[in-house]
Amino acid sequence: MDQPRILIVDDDTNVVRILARTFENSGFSVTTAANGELAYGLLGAEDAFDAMICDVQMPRLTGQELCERLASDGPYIPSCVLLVTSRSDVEIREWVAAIPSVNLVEKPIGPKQLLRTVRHRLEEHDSDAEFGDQRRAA
Amino acid sequence: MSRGETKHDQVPGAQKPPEDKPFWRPSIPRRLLMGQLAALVLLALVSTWLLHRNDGRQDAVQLENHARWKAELVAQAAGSEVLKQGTPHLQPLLEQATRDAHLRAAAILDSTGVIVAHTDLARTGLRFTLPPNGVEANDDQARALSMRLFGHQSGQLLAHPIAGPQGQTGTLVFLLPEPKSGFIAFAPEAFLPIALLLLAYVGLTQSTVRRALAPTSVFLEKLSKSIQTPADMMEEGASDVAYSEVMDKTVSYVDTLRQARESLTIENRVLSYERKRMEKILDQLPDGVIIVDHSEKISFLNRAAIGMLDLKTDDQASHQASSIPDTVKNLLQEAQQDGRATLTQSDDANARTITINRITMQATGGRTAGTIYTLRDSTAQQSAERAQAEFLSQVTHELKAPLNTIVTYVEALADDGLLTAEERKEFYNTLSGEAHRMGQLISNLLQLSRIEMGNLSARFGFVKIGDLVRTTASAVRAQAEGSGLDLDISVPENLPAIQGDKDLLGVAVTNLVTNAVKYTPEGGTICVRALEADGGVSIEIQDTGYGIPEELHQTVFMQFVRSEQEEVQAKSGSGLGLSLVKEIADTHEGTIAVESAEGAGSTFRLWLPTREIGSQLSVPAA
Repeated sequence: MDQPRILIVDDDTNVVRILARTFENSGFSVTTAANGELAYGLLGAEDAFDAMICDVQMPRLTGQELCERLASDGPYIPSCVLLVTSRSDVEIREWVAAIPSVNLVEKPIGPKQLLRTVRHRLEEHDSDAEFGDQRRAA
Repeated sequence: MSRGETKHDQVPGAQKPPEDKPFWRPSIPRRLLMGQLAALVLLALVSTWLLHRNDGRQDAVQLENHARWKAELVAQAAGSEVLKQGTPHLQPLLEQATRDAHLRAAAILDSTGVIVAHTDLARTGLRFTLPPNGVEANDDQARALSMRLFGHQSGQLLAHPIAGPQGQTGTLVFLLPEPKSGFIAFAPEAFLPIALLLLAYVGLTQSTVRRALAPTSVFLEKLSKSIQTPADMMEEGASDVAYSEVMDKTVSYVDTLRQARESLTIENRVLSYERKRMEKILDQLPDGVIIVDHSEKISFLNRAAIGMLDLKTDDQASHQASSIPDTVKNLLQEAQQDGRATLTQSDDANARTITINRITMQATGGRTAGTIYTLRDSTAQQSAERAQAEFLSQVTHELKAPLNTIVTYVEALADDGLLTAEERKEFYNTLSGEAHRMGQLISNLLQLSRIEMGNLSARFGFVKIGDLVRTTASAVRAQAEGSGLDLDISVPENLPAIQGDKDLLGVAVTNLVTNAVKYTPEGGTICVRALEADGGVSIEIQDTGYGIPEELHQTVFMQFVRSEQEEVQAKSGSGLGLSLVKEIADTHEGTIAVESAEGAGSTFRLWLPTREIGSQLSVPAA
C-alpha cells in the first residue's frame, strides 16, 4: 500500500499539531483543517483521503454536520472516518450507525490509540476490498 | 307425686256435707263394676236362651224356602237348557245351583228316571225310580231314597218338577243341608227383651253414677263459679296488661324509628356536607382527580381534571362531564389496564404532557368499589428532566474536553522526539491551564448544586458589599496585569450592607471580573465600580473587550452558552460562569444585565437589594 493519506480536523491547533506529527512519524501523509467547512473544501479539492479524524464540536461546521454533508452530497467519504466526541448517548450512536465507514471514538483518547484505531480500520477495509476484488475476478 | 294424689290424701270420708265432701269416693267404682257385671251376666243368659230357641227352627224354614226358590230357578233353567242344547249342559247348571243354595247334594232325573246330572258325577246315567207319591211322602221313604240317590240319609230330601214346553220333562231332587250348631240368625222377638234389659242397665248405671258423683258436680259447679270470677278478672287484667304492653312497645318502637329517622336525616346531611367539603378540597388540588364508580360511570371530576382534559361542564352539575371524549375514555382504559397512561396534548400554543395514574378502591369483602385516576401535568417535570439530561451532557462534554487535551498532551510529552523544547514548555503551560479550567468548572458545578439544593437563606448574613467587591477584584489584579490590562477599582467606603451569602457573592464578582480579563485583548481597560442605586447596590464591571453580539444578550446567562466569536472560542471556558452569576443574583432577589456590542466592550451590572440590618445579627467582615 502506498503512503496512506489522512485528514485531521480539529479547532484545537495544539491537538492538531500533536496528531499530525504522530501520524507523520508513522508513515501517513497528513493534511489538517481547523473546522468542518475547511475540511469539506479540502476533500473536494485534493486527492482522495484514506482516513479522516474529526472532532465533533467545532465552529462553522461541526464534525457531525460535515459527515452528514459528505454522505448526502459530498464528493466522497473516506473509507475510515473517526468521529471524536465526548458524547456517548444513544442518539449519536444511532446517527453514526446510519452512515457507513463512520465510527465513533469517545473522548478522552490519546494520539497512540487513535493511530492504532486508524491502522486497524484501514487494514480491515483493505482486506475487504481485496476479498471483493477476488470475488469480482472469480 | 302428682297433684291429684296429693288431694286424695288430704280429703276425708264421703259422709261429710257436700260442700265439704271430696269430689271422689272410692266406693263408687266398685258399685258400678258390680252392677255392670250383673247386667252383663243377665244379658248373656237371656241372649243364649233366645238364640237357643231360635236354633234349628228358624233357620230350617229359611233354608228350605231358599232351597225351594233356588230349585225352582234351576228347574226353569234346566227346562229351557234341555230345550235349547240338550241334557249334557245340565251338569254345570246343577253344580252351580248346588253351590249357590248350599245344598248337600242334588240330581236331575229325566222322565224315564235316568240321572242326567248329579253332584256326584259317578252316579250319572243310573236309572232311578221315584215314588209315585213324591219324595215327601214320609220320612222313612225319604231317607231310603236319599240313601240310594246320594249315598247318605241325613238331611231333608226335596224334589221339584222340571217343566219343559211339552209338560214335565224331569225332576230335580236335592238334599237340604242340616242346620249347623251355633248358627245364629236374627230373631225379631228377641229384640224387645234385650233392648229393655239394656235400657234398664243403662238407667241403673246412670242413676248410680249420678248419685255417686252428685257431690263432685256440686263441688265442680262451685269451683267453676269461684274460678270463673277471678279468671275473668285475670283475663280482663291480662288483656289490659297485654294491651298496655303492646301500646308501650308500639310507642317505644315508634320513638325508636323516629329517632333513627332523625339520626339518618342528620347523618345524611353530615354526609352531604362532607361530600361537598371533599369535593371542594379535591377541587383545590393541582392534580386532576377522576372517580369512576363500580359501574364504570364517572362519578366525580375535579376542576383540575376538567381543565387538563378540556372537558365541558354545565353549571348545574359542575362535576359531571357532560361529554367525555373518546380519547379520554381510551386513555382511562389504558390507565385501567396498565396502571398508568400518558396523554400528550399538542396544539399551536403549547404542548402538554399529562400523566395518569390509577388507584383501585377496595370495598369490604375484596370487591372493587371503583377507581380513582389522578392526572398530573408532567410537562414541566419532563421539561426539567430534559434540561437535566442536557445539563449532564454538557457537563460531561465540558469535563471530557480538557481531559482529552490533557491525555493528548501528556502522550505527546512522553514521546521524546515529537516536540521541541519550546513546544514542551508551552504544552506544560496548556496542561496547567486545562487543569485549572477543569477545577473552575467543578467549582462552578458545586456552587450551582448548592443553589439548586436550596436552603441558602439559612447561611445568609449581612455582607459589607463594598469591602467584598474591593477585595475580590484586587485578587484578579495580577492576572489582569499579566494579560496587559489596566484594572480600575472604584468602590466607595460608605456603601450599605446587604443580606446574602458572602461566598456566593464573592463567586459572582470573581466570575464577572475574570470574564472581563479573559475576553479583553491586551492593552484594554477593566473598570470595577460599586454604587448605591434603586434601593440597593449596583456593581458594574466594564471592559474594552470583544463585546457580545446583541442576539446573545438574552441567552448569555444560560448554561453552556458561549459566543461563536473566534476570539471567544480561542479561550477556554466552561459556559457556566455567567449562568452561575444569574443564579446568585436570583437567589439574592437581585438582577444581572449586560450592555454590549460586538467589538465595543461589555458592561455587566449586578444589582443587589439593600436589607435592614437586624439588631440580633452581627455584621461579618467581608
